[in-house]
Amino acid sequence: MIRISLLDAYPTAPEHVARYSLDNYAAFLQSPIYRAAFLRSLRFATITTLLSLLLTYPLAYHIALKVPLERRAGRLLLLIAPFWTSEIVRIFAIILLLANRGAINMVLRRAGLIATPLPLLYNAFSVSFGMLYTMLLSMLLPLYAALDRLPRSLLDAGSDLGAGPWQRFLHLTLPLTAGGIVSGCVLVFLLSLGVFAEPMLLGGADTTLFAMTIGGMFADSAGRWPLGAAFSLILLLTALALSLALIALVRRRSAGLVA
Amino acid sequence: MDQPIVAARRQITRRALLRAAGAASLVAPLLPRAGHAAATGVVKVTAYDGFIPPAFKKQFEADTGIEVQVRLVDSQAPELNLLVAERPHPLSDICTVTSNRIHQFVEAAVIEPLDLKRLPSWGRIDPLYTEAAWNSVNGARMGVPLVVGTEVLVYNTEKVVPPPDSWGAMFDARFKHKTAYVIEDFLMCTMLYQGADGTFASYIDKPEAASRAVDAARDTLIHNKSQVLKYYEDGSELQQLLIGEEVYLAQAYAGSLTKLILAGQPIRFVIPREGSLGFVYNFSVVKGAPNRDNAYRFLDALLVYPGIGPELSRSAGYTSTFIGAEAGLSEPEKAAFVLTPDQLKHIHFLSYEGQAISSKLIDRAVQEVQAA
Repeated sequence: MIRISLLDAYPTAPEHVARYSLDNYAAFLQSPIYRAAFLRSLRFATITTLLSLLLTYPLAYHIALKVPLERRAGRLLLLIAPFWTSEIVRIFAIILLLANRGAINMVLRRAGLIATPLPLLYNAFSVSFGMLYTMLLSMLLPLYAALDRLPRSLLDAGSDLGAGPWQRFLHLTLPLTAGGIVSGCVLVFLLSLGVFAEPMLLGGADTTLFAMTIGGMFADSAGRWPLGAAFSLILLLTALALSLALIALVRRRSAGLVA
Repeated sequence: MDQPIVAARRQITRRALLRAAGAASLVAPLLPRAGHAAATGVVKVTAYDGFIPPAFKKQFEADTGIEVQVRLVDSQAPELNLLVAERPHPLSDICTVTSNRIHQFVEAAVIEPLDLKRLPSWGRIDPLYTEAAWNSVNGARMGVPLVVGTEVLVYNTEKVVPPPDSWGAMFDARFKHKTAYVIEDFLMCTMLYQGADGTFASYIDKPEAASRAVDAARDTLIHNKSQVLKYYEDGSELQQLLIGEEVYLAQAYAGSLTKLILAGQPIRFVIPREGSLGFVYNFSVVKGAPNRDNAYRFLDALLVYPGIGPELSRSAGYTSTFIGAEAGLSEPEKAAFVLTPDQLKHIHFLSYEGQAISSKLIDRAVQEVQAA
């Protein structure tokens, strides 16, 4: 991939002499259009990560700490079972849900709450919805694992010392599950940054994400593979850098807590 | 005392059974299938959906014993990239090439000139297509023309009143977020709308003029992005968008709409007054095809199959290139599949030379419109 990203053409025609340069990387820096798609991807990935954390943490907390032990496996199974279905099938189910003549609009129209369909599909909302739905499991399982490992005795001790529920959550539960939060966030962020099917099937004209731009260079264009390779590496390195930065930040804060 | 003998008999019986089962599983694939001649190989065809009528495929396999394996594609650029990636050992014997892409496929060295001596029924196809300039490279023919497609402006007859007659309707503020198109194709239609040469024929020695025209169309599409609900890729996607009334107007290929029209949907299409682009779908022989002989047997059988013209129209949804194909269609089918002489007057075909300029410029512009 690195070698292809430095070429001026690939696959090379028999009579062509390959030339190496950084032109493909320069094309990214020089073109505001490609940078816009890149920044859009970062935005979607960040929002998806934060929203999935906010939505999934209470769910994981409930299952790990409130549901009796003998019923936890069943609850988890109920949440995991839909993910046994192919991602593409689940995305098409979302289309049926959000379309103008889909389930949501049909119910609202029949209830007399709307006269014309709500524009729920082929926009930022549907892409975010789709990404959130497909990433939920990637956030849920690390959070559940971290919460499950939480020593109950610490929470009991906190309660005995007069800490209220919110104080116990903020000063005990949250810091002690930081590892799970970071794992979940990194996983969801990395997956979201490279997501392809959701924007392709659920997105509209203004929700082109960077992975689609890269995909187009390999699938839909002739002779732009080196550009696609360069863009892929830019995406990969950015994702790794941001993930490592997040891990380092949380580690530093956790070390401060321990000290 | 008899137990060891019984045990030995049981072991022998089990061993024999396992041997027989193993031998049977080795022999089974070699047994001829019922109703077919002994298999004499395969022919692998990369084709669009509907381009091989099911009745023809069944007849060909029964007559020759050659299995037809179909790899479906729905767009030229991915197909070209697949063939380039497989070069020089392609996984296909025959591929589908549109008249406006033949140049790219030739430059990429993935198709070879046809050996017309092996296609004695070549004359069954209208010379308008077999002798066309886009099908000739250094005097050799590159593809067997099958069907003629054209870009059209499709609209919902209940939502778009009065009926549109210009590509400009796609930029009408009344239809904000209610349009859809394939960027690559609509880029060239926009060039026609803006008075530029969407066929690139007049830009052959003027690359800067070509670049300016493409950039102007690209900028128009970027500026009017709010008009678009979705950039679609596949005809079936557009069908769902139209049926669900997600979009009211779209640039489309006529073939993807004919089935909706015949089913009674409130959908019609026009060829705008600025003109539209036409393309002919061809079967070409892949360079280095692993089953080259079978490929020619397939193509020759296709040319002589009785009623292949109307069959192709029905399965692919486009006008057939076969002489006299219209006679086999019903009146509703003719209205849906056949281009009238008046419509044909407004259709422009990309020349072979024009493609050399257009492909690089258009591909870059498509990426930019999509990413903006």
